[in-house]
Amino acid sequence: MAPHKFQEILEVSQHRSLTTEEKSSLEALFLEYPELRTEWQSEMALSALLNRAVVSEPSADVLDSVMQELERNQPQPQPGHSVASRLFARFSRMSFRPSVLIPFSMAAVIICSLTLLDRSSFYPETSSIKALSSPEFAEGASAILAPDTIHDFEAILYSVEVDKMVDKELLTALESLR
Amino acid sequence: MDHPEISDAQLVALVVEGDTTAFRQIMARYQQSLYQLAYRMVMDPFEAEDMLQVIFLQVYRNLNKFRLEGSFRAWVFTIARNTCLNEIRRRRRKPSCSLDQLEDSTDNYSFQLSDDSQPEANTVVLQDELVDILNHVLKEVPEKQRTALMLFQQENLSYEEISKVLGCSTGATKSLIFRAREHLKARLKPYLSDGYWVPAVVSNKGA
Repeated sequence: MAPHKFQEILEVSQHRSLTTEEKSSLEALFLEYPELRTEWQSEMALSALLNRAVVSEPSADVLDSVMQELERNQPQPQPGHSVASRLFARFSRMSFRPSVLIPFSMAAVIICSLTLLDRSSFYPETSSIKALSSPEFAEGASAILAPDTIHDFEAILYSVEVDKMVDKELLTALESLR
Repeated sequence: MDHPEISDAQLVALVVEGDTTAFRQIMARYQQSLYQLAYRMVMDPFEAEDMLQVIFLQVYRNLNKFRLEGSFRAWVFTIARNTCLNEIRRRRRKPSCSLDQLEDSTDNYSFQLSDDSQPEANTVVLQDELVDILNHVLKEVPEKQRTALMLFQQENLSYEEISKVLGCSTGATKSLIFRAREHLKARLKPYLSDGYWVPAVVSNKGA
C-alpha cells in the first residue's frame, strides 16, 4: 500500500511539474519504500501513454457546417431569456447577501417542497430546487438542464411553472419573514 | 483566427451580443477537446463528428444560460457529455442505429514487434501498438470513469471542474480517476516491466 504522501505527490505530478521539495520527498520515499520507484515509473508510463492516445482532429468542415446551420435555423441567444437561468440567477444574486441567504434558502426549500408535494403533475426532477442558493450548483444545473430542456417539452413547462411559483411563493415568504 | 488574449467569457458575451464570428472562435478552441470526448463516448470517428455538430448547436442555443463568472470549460464539457448521453440513449431505443454495429478497428489488434536491430524504430512501433491497445482497453472502462480520466489527463481539468461535469463530489471524482487508472494498469500489466513498456510475451497477448 503506497503511503499517503506518495499518492499526494502522484496526483500533483499529473497536473504540473514537481517542486524541488516534492522531488526530495519522493526520493526519500523511494529510499524508504524501494518498491514505490517501480510503481512511480508505471504511473508515469501510463500517463505518457494516455497523453499519446489523442484521437485525430475532426474534419475541417465541421465548423463550417455548424455556422451554416446557425445561419439557417438558429435564433440568436438572447441575454436573460432563459427561464432556468433567470430562476437560478435570482438565487445566485441572493447568495452575495449572507444575511438574506439562510432564511431565504430555507423558505425556498420548504415552500417548494410542500407545494410540489401537492402537485403530482409536476415534472419529477424536483431535487434541483434544494440547492438553489449555491452559485456552483446554479452553473452546473444550467448546463445539465441545457441539453435536456431542448428535447423535453415537459421540462420546459416544468421550469416555467416553477419560475412562476417561486416568484409568487417566495415573495409571500419574504413578506412574512420581514 | 483565434485570439488567445480574449477569454472564453468575453467571447460568450460577444456571441450573446450578436457576434457570430466569436462563436466560431469558441468552436475552434474546443473542437478538438469536444471531439475527443464525443469519440470516447461513441467510439466512432464519424459518429463523433456528427455529435460534435450537435454539441456546438446545443452550446450556442444555451449560451445565455452560462454564468460568466463560472468555468466555461466545465460548462461546455457538461453540455457535451449530456448531449452524447442523450444521443446514446435515444439510439439505444432504436436498435437499428449504427452505434451497435460499430466496426471495432482495434478488436483484432496484435502486438508484434519486429526483432531487428533498430531500437528507436522499435520504440515507436511499441508506442503505437500500445496506444491501440490502450484505446481498446479504454472501452472496457465505465463511461463515468473514462470521462473523468480523460478530462483530467488530456484536458487538464481540475477535480472541481470534473466534478461539475459529472455531477458528483470531488472525492468521488478522485475515486473515479483512481479506479480507471487501476483498471488500465491491471489490463496493461503484461506490457509493463519495472515501470517501462515492453513487448508482452506471446502467452499474454491480448490481455
